[in-house]
Amino acid sequence: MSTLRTNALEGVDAKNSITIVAGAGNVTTTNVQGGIAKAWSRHEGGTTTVDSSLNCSSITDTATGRPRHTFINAFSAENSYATSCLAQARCQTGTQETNAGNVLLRTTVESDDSDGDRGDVSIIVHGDLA
Amino acid sequence: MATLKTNTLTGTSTAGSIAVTGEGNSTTTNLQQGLCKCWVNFNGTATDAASRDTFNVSGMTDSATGNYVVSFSNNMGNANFSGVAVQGNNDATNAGVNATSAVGHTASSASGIETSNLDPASTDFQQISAVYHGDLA
Repeated sequence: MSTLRTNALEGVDAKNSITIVAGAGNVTTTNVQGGIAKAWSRHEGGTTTVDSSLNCSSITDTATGRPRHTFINAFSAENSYATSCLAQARCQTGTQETNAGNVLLRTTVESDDSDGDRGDVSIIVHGDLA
Repeated sequence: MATLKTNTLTGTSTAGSIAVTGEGNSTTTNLQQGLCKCWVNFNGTATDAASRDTFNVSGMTDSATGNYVVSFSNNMGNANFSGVAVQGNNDATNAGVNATSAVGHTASSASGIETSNLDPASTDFQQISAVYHGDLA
């Protein structure tokens, strides 16, 4: 067994690109930078307290059911990332507006589609950093 | 091109922290925090919510209709990890789009998933996937 100890990883040909063998057959490779989540967080809707996060500087309660997550390190463009989001049971959750530096969510109450603050709001974001 | 062969990656200053240069070459992100810590694909209509494939899952529990518990092999560091789930059916006309999923957890060792239709009522679905990010213990 070998263990590489380092504080930072950079690609050699392009420092923003590292390939890793990841397929079950030990042949297929995937990209480290492309595959890791660049941001995630969890908070209670209606509050601005971030319970835990990666690359999330703050959450702004812009309106009922409309939390805005601001990133510490922005993405390269407003459409350069994919957001998965979810809140507590029996509500709809989606992205209302995406910007390179933040994303605005919308959460609704049960089935009537009205805006509502919901608990257990989680987001996971993959994409290209600026 | 250079190839580095190793079985394990460990931070030097902090074992659980390695920085990776981002796509724009101007910022770094944290490798360990960016890695998915658990994922599961399971059949919510099957006995005991049988999982089809998983990562870092020790077991599944079918708590009630539309309610499941995913137990982790290696626990999270706290109960504030982030998780998302999506539901569906193997049916083009009833794919599960008029439905919702939720993830809730109060412990570091497991996560609850609830899937509902828009009545709203808890409902079992055939195709349920969940992904978790957070800090391991």
